[in-house]
Amino acid sequence: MRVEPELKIIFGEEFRRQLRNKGFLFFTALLVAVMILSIPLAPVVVDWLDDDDGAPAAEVRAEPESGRFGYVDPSGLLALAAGAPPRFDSLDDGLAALRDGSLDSIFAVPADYLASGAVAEYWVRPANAGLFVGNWDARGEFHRLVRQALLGGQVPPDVLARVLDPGSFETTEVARSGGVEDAEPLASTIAQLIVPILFGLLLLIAVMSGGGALMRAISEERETRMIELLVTSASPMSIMVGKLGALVLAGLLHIAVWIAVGAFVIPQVIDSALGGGELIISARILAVTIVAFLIGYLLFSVLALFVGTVVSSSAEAQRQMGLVSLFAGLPVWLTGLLINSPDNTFAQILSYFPFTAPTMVMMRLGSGSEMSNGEIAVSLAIAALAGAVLLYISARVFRVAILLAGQSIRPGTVVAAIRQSG
Amino acid sequence: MPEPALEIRGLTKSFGAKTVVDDVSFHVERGEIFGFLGPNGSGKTTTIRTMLGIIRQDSGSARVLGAEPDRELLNCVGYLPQDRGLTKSSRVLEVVRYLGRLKGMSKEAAQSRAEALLERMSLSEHRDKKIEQLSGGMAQMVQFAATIVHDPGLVILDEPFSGLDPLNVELMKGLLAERQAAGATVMFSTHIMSDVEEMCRHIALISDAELLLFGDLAEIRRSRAARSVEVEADSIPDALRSLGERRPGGMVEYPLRDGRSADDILRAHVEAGIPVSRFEVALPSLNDIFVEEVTRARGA
Repeated sequence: MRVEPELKIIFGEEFRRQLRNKGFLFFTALLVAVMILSIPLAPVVVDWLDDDDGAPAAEVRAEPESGRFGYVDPSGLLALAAGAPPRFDSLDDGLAALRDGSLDSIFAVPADYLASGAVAEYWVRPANAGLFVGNWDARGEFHRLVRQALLGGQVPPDVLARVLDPGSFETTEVARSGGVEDAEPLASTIAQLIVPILFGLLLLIAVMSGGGALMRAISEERETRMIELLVTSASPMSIMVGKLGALVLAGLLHIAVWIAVGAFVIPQVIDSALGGGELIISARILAVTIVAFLIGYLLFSVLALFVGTVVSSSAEAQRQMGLVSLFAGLPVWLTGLLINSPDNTFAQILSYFPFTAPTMVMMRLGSGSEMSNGEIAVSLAIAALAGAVLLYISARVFRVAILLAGQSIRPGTVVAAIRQSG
Repeated sequence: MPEPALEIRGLTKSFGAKTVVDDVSFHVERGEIFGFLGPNGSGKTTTIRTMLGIIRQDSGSARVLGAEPDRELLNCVGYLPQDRGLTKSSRVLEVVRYLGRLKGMSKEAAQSRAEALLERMSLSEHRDKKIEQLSGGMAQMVQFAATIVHDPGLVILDEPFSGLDPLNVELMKGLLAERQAAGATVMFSTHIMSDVEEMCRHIALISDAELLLFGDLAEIRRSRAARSVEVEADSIPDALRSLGERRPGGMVEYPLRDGRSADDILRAHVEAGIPVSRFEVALPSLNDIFVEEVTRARGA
């Protein structure tokens, strides 16, 4: 196939423009910075999120991380050892401690506690409490404290330890076919999910930066009539393909940087934050993710071209970018739903809608979907076909769009442009 | 004899029910500067776009440099659109070089020619600036540089002088004259009649989609009835002077009306024994012809 020289020139010019695009540089650098920063930050975040910091089960901490609390005990049941949370003789004394800021919660255990199980809780609402009422973390600590007090001296220490911390799980997965194997280590489970999510996010970011820049550039060329100069030098298809090729190459370059940094950073993050474990990513998931990503990236690039061609101005193109990124981001936003039910009806429908299919396939596979290879192929083929059709339509509409600078192209005009042959 | 640089026959283009170019035919000889005139919305820009293949005609034909316009042939054409603008984030030298390369120039040739043109236009110091950092006139000159960077054999300019200051107008005219001297053909549309009278030998006038006039400008003017004669002479008697109006420099202008011809005026002076030092029949200006033709066509 002979490639028009004009196509190469347009490709080169657009590629250079993409590389200079501030959004492109910003997003490339931002994600790299976030990934590198995640190495030292991940363990800190995991520690912070982890409620069980490994304290001995039989000890009650004086000042738990869940908040400073004290108690009032008219029941007389909570005879605690030294180092326990402060005990107040009266509720008024406890409330005074709340008011002066030295404590966050007070639990009052009534005289009929054994019969009723009722406990009065007094708390100061922190700034970020949201809709929740009561200090739920402090309640957990208080429960441990009560169990310890009620059972202390009545059961052996090892039994008490198990009452307070009933067990940690080691899971073995039994297949219905009869096979038995250790459950995947947490690191691999996370990797299986995180790779598709990461690629879904990368697609969204790449569409927002590169696709957005392309969309604005096309509509600006229409506005300024630059496009009139281009069409006297190159065919609409060459212009479209040159611009698209440049965007795709620039996008892949930016993805390559992220993947290279990610390949170095992610194992380190998992090692430091989750205590290591071999990072195993299914070859099938990886292969489908990469293919789906490439198809999705091409599709959204063509969509950006099309929108840039039909909108009235670069400002309008900027506004329409939200619609494009909505399609790209929808499956990522549904991650919570997909983790619980990757093959639900809604997910299946979105897997066959061209603009959500690539990301949805990635996300479902990462969430443990049982999509067959045939289903995956059909889903991705629909997206690829939509991209090809959209490119054809864009090139057709392009010639009409030249005459309508400053105007949006109406659906009727698009249909007429497609029908016009030759 | 070589074919005309541009030949249009029966060109017709409609948008929906509205015909914007209706059976227009004219040609532009090689090596000339041609004026394409018409009021706003008359169909000039559509005619130009159609002849360049930017839009397709409904019927008729356009031949450019002796052939049907195709991509390769259009590389020999420089085109300055009416609604001008370059991508705002583009840099001056880069955009001129880019458009030159799209016209088939090598990178080196486009670079050196772009640099030379910017130098000639006193824009060298702005070569690395973005288009959005330039004034409107400067950006227009940059686009003109991009129009001629590849030394085209045919230059088509749609309202090239609008928005330019007099210095840049003169600069652009000088560069066009150079292109003509190098053998190129120039066609431009304009509303400024004095520019056409100054630069063009042949013109076409289009109004409301139809061609009203086409031909040699001097012949067109001569073919029109003379409006007046101007006479410079000593001691014109009051009786004769009262037929005309005084003009600076002792001139008297006699309107030709009520059946009075130029011969009648001259004969009257000779018979009165007045030595005439200058006698000139005043032809209608292009502006007069433009207004007259368009008004007549619209009235019809």
